[in-house]
Amino acid sequence: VSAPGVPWKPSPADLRRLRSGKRTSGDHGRRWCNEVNFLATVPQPVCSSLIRSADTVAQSVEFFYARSIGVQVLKLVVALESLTLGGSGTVEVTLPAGAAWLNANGLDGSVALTAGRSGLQSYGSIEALVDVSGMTAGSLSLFTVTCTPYASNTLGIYRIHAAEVALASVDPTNYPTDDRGANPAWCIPPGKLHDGGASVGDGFGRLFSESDYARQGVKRHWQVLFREQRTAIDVFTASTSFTGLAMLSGLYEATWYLRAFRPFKTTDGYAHTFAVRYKTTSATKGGEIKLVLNSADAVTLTCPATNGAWATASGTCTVPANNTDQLVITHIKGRVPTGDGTNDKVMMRAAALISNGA
Amino acid sequence: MTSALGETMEAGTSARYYKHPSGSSSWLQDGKPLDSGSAHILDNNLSHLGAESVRCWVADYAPFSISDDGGYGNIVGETNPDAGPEAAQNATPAEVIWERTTSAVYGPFPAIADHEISDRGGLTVRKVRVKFRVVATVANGLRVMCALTRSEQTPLEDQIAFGYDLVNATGETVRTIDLEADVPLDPRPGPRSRVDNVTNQAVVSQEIPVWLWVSARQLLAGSYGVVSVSAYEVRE
Repeated sequence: VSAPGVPWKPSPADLRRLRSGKRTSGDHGRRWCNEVNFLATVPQPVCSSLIRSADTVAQSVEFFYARSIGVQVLKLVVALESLTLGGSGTVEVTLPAGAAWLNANGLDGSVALTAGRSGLQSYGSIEALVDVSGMTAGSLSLFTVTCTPYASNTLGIYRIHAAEVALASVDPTNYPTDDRGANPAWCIPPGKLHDGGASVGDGFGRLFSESDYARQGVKRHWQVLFREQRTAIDVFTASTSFTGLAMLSGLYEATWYLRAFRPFKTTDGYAHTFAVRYKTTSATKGGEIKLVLNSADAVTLTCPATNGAWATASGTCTVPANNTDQLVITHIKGRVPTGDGTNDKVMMRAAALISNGA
Repeated sequence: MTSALGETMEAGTSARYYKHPSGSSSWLQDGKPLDSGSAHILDNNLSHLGAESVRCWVADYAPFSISDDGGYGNIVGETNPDAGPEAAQNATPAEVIWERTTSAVYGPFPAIADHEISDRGGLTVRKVRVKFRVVATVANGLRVMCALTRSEQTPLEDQIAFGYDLVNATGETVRTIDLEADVPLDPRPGPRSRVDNVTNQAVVSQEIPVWLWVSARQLLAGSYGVVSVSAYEVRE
């Protein structure tokens, strides 16, 4: 067996079967391998947002991605919309370093695409597959999706969705570094160990390293996307104090909820990277964007002035896991402390929280 | 906890992952038995990570408009079959027409069928918790709803779970709906996961694609808004 299939669900067992002084069945070893293969390849959703950017001018959306260890393919879904019947144009996804198209399906800008009219029930999503195996695992990278309507056409991105694709199999025997997981054939009864060669990393020893890869190598994404031209709700203005994202005519602040990842005790938060894609309207006046989790400041990012160019700011923070149901209440706040009160703004079009615990 | 998860050394919120020396640090030798402590830690860790492998699905802001006709007026030739005073008494997927401006769709999410169906056995996709952050000037005047489908067909044609909640307060509140499918589901061949390293042939992965739909219906005159939508898997 060189390429064991990846199970699609965990396999239950109780601990009392593993007793001191008694031999452990080789079947437990095989089950552990299957558990590791399942956990190391649980496909992670990366982002899923409505954009609703139908317009006569080109607009872009960006999203962050940090590849989970062992993941090979990212599925990218884009649905278009038009405010008129049959709006046409192109969509071009700019891939980060190390990524390549497996099946662009027209999202490489080479094909004229036509959207249904807004208000139709038919969504007509376009699915594309990206080979991400060349990307550095865990490294923060950026996908840019640009929709360019043809002249006199109205076209935009209705929604964007990205998720890692599950592995069908792993081949740790032939590719011990690239392929995570363990080969169930390595576990030989009755209860004796093969610790594996250092260069190969097979045997029982691999189960312990792979289980830790499953904890820290799987990158959990939480991400909010904003459309480029929107000016009301993703903007922070000149202020000495932080303000939230003003939703619904500025009356209410955007609030999101997520479930914390809690590998350790309830009092132990888990390390994450918080990243934003932002730009400033000023060439000299920068701003700050802050992540607030459960009413406590998690991290404040300094956003130097970019004079209208999009840039990335990121920092590390700890996501708490001590709330009931591990609930994390999330706010994003910002300010331009030295702004002039009228023109100096910080705009944001992506905010991501990605696990990076070691 | 579902039946698809193994036992952990401590239960409930005390369950945790224990760090352990890696296998390459010379404590593990050929031909020697695996000590029961390490076996327990390994088994516990894998079961706990399985329980914690729930994922965030959606974090979105003001994703759709709210109408009092469920969006039927946006579709040529359609009228809401559930209009009128009796609408407040009913809550079905047909209350809205799930079109683009008055609803939102997310996905496909690669779902995992390791959740035990409550009352009839079998395994289905994990329970999905959907949180609507809403504002309302009139109590009982807004109903939020959500559904899971197995295709991009709307919940009118293809739903495996549907839930709703009446916003019974004014001001800014949070409404929570748990979506639990009640049909056993198995993975089907999905997209290629990669080109096989050895044979250079495409490998087809197995997955259960699931779409999440959200919408809301105005029942009484007033001002309403959905500030944000969050969705994530839970193990309960």
